[in-house]
Formats: sequence, C-alpha cells, structure tokens
Amino acid sequence: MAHELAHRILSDLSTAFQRHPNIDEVGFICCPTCQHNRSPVVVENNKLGIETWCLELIFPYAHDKVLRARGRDDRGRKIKVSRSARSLLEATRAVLLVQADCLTAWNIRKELVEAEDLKCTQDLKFAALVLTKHPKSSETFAHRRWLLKQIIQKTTSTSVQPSPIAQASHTNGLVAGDQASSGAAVEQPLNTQHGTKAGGTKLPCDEKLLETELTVCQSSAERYPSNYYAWTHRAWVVENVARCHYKILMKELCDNRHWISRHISDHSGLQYRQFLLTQLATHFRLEDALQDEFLPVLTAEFELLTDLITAFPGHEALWYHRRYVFQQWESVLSMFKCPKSDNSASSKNHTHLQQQHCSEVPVELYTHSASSFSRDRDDSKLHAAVVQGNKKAKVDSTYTEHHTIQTELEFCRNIMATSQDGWQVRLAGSYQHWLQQRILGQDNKLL
Amino acid sequence: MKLYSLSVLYKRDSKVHLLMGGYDLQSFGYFQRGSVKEFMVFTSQIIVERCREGSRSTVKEQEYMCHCYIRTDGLGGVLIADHEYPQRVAFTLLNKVLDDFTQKVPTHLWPDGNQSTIHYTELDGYLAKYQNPREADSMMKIQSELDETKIILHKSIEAVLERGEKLDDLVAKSEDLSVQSKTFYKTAKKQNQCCVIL
Repeated sequence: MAHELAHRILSDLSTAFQRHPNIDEVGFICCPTCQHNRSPVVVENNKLGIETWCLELIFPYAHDKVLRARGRDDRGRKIKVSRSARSLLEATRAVLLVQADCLTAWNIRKELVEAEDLKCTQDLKFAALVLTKHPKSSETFAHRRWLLKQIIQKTTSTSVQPSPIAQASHTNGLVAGDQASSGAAVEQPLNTQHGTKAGGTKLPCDEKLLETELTVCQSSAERYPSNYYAWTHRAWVVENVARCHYKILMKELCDNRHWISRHISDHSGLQYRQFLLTQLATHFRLEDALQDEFLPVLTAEFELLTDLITAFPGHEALWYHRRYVFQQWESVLSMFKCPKSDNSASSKNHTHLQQQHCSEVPVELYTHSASSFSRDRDDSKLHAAVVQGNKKAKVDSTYTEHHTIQTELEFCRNIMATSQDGWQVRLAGSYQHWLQQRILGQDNKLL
Repeated sequence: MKLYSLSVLYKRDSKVHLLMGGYDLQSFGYFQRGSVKEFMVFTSQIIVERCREGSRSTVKEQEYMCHCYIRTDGLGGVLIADHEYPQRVAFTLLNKVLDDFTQKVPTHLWPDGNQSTIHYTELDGYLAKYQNPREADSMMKIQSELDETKIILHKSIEAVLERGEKLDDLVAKSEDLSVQSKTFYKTAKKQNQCCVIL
C-alpha cells in the first residue's frame, strides 16, 4: 500500500516537471498529515512544493531503488539490473531533492550522462534546483564540476588544442568529493592561462555557461551566509572555465565589491576576493605592470576597507581581509627595493627578501600566515625573468608613502580612540598586534 | 545586511496589538514565507508586551536582531533585521517611522486599531529604502541625534520572557500562528536547525 502510494507520488512529481519545465525553486511545505486526499506535490509560480508528510514515504522507496541499482553479488561484481533510464532518473531525483549529498544518486546520474540518456545541460538545471533547497551541498557542487568538465572537454576536443583542464591549484584537496575525471589533467603553462589585457579579448569559454554558473553561485551564497562551498566553486569556475581571463577577473572584482558591501561579515566572500586579487597579482607580474596596474587596485582595496570598517564597526572578516591586502602591498613594494646588480651586504638581504616574495605561485587560498606566497612551486625560470624585468628599481613615492606599517598603526590608533563599539576596539587592537609582530619579524630577518 | 519586517504596535495596560506591518520576505523560500511572516508578527508582539514603555532594546535571536522602541505614549515599533545591519540606523528608522505614523494616523484610532482599520501604507516603502543603510541614512556619517537612553541588549527571546514562561508554550497557545507554522517550529527545533525564524 505504502509502495503504491509512493509510486503514485513519484509519478505526480514527474508530471509536475513535465508540465512546468521552468521550475526554478523547490521547497517543503510543512504539513504533518495528508489533507483531503490531495497530492502532496504543489506547483505555484514555477516553485515546486512538496508536503512534508509524504517525505517519509517517498524517500525510503526511492533510496531503495537507487541502492538496488548499485547491487553487487557475493563476489562484489555489479549485478546487472535492467532498469530504465526513466525510472532511475525519477528515483535519483526524488532522493536528491530530499538529501542532496547522496553521492550514489549523483553517480548514477553521471552514468546516465555518459550513456547519453541525460544531457549535461539538463542535469545542470536540476542541480541548480537542488541548490535552491540545499545551498550548502558540497556533493551537488562537485557534481556540477564534473558536468562542466564534460562540457568543456567536449567543446575543446572538437578544436585542435591539447588537453584542456589544469588541475585547480588552490582547490586541490580543498574541494571535497571531486573524483578526478578520467582524462589526464595537464598543467597549462601559466602564461597561457591568463588572457592578456591587450590582444586577447575573446573569452576562452562559452559566456552563457559561465554566466549561468556564476548566477548559481551567487544565489547559493545569498541563501546561506558565508557559504564556503558556493564561493570555492566560484573560484574553481573562474580558474577552470574562464581560465582566469583578465577581463573576467576584473569584472568579478567589481561585482564582488558590491556583494561584500552588503555582506560585510561573509568570510567566504572575502576569501574569494583574495583569490581574485592573487590571480590578478600573477597576471600583472607577467605583464610587468605591477606598479602601474596592481598597486592602484590595492589602493582601491585599502580605501574600500577603511570605508567599510569605519561605517560598520565590529566585523572581524573585514579586518582579516585588511591583513591580506597589506601583505600583498608589502610584497609588491619589496620587489622594487634594490637594483639587481648591487652586491653590497644590505642589498644581499634585500635581494633575499625579493627572492622570497618573487616565487611565482598564487597564495594558498585560505592562508592568513605572515608569509605572503607559498613556496611550494619552484618556478625559478619565471622568477629570474621577473627579477630581470624590473628594470625600474624605484617605486613612485606616492605608493611608498601610503600604507606603510606606520600608517596602518596610525589607523588602528584612530579607531581605538574614536570607536564606541567595544568589539571594534578589540579588533583594531588585534590588528595592531599583528602589525607589531611583522615589524619584529622583519627586524629579525635583517640581522 | 537585510531588513525583514517593520511593525507598529500599540501598548496600553500591558495589552499589545498590531496596528500595521511591512515585510520583505524575498530572501526566504517561497513556501516558507507565510510561516515566516506569522513568526515575525508573533515575535514583535511578544517583545513589545515584555519591554517597558520609554525603552529601547535589541533582542538577539539566532541570525536575527529584533530592534524595539516603545515610546512613553505606548506607541511602539519593532524592526527585525540581520546581525550585519547597523543598530544605530535601525533605531533612527524606528524613530522616524513612529513620528511619521503619529502625524498621519490620529491618536484616537490607536487603542482599538488593527491592520484593516488603520490607513498607513508607508511601511513597505521605508523597508525598501532602508535596505541600504548608507543611502537612506545620511546620519551614518556623523554622530546620531538619538537621545541618551541606552539600548538594552537581550541575548535571546527567552531572556525577555517572564520567569517561568516558556517560548514553546507561547507558540502552542498563540492564535496568530497557523497549525503549519506551529509544526514547523516544533520540527525545526527538534532538528536544531539554524536559521529558524524563532
């Protein structure tokens, strides 16, 4: 009896999707008992609602179907179960709308995609729907990445280019549930990953695909505060779909600015911003435009932070972002400290500093440690080219006079003297302490 | 940084009733909005019932900050916002709304008024305008002109209740909450969900 009912409800669900192909949101309607013999599936204004009384019926039924499709015999070999694609789609859909992190269900859908019973675009649409109810589902985001890789591989295999996707450098290991796609991932040389500002105006990807993906990330970030998975996914998309193209980086930086002004405590949104700035740093270093292009970006960043910190006292996320920006600032300036041919003792130390900061690797995405850049990758050739390339030994004094440790300490003192918010005062004190530690650290290095 | 509801209530002899409410529920799931609105009405009522006339308080409840200002003449306003929304702007807005309401709705209508008898449509407009605190409030740049009354901070709704009162009982007894909302409250509490409305 329960089975029949569950089966009927799943049919209702299928009918709902057929009749309303533009369903864009799913939600549960809190309804403890079945009312008036009515179907628990409701569609209003393209929003799908499922009454909660039926969940304990349909979920076990659908989940059972999903598990049986993965049945194995005593020797662990897969049992060939003849199950129609349609039936599997129905069952996995029901399971995932309730429990979005069911990897088994997502994997069945992957197989259906590979068998061409399901299109990538259709499944992307479904995954977006799941995210409206489960905005923090890491498995759903992982599945999206798999689908995107499929799409990208398909489009690039039709062109003459070599193996497309570089393994995401920051997101290696940080993005849970990702199974490496079967194709070997080849590291692209860095200078082909970043579109150059001058010539390359053509984006390396389908614009609509990119836009859709960014919209999905945005909605998920809106639905759940400090949504780590949505922002990490966004970074992955920028890196692997948009290939960190300069234009995309700048547009994202601009859009993100509006976002964080309205979500000042969103740590993950700010960490995404740091990812963008790090990528831009790499790009401008390759273009030898750090002073002309990147320092103004950082200056604007300082201004934004000062503005937000003073207007909205007591938000820790902003203070931590300021630490990152300051680190970047110091790193860039330190690269211009000495002419390269000077062999005096003091300049040896400076060159040492220069070398430390010149390693060509983007910052670990989520580090707040004192060392600016990770030293994992050894890219000495590029490093030498950069050091050689900085023929200008001096930085414009308008930069060197602003945003020194001293001016930052002054900033802290001002806040501590004028703010009425106790927590803000403590945050300023904490930043002040961090700055003072940096002074001590630098003194030790020069000894 | 969001505002969710703005209500004007009237309190006399410990009795409180809602005169008018404005709501912005876009950020909630489509099917949740009905219940969310009911809970915001319920919460606003509870807070005004238990705070004194002539006081300003902020009640923190999970992700929400309920800012409440009750004037000495019994007219009160409750603004439900998230924790990023600056407190000072919240109270500036409440001041403004209550002044405006006083000008537009005659005092004699307050004691027996409710949403159908009171004609005051400004609340949705205020809510929309103040979603962006800096555009709306030029005073953010300079010190506010609020009087010296301190704003009392309550760490939860339970903290506002009388001794022996339990929130669960109040929810169960409430005539303003539908069966659906009451069930939602019970299940959400059981699952210890974050971002529950109450």
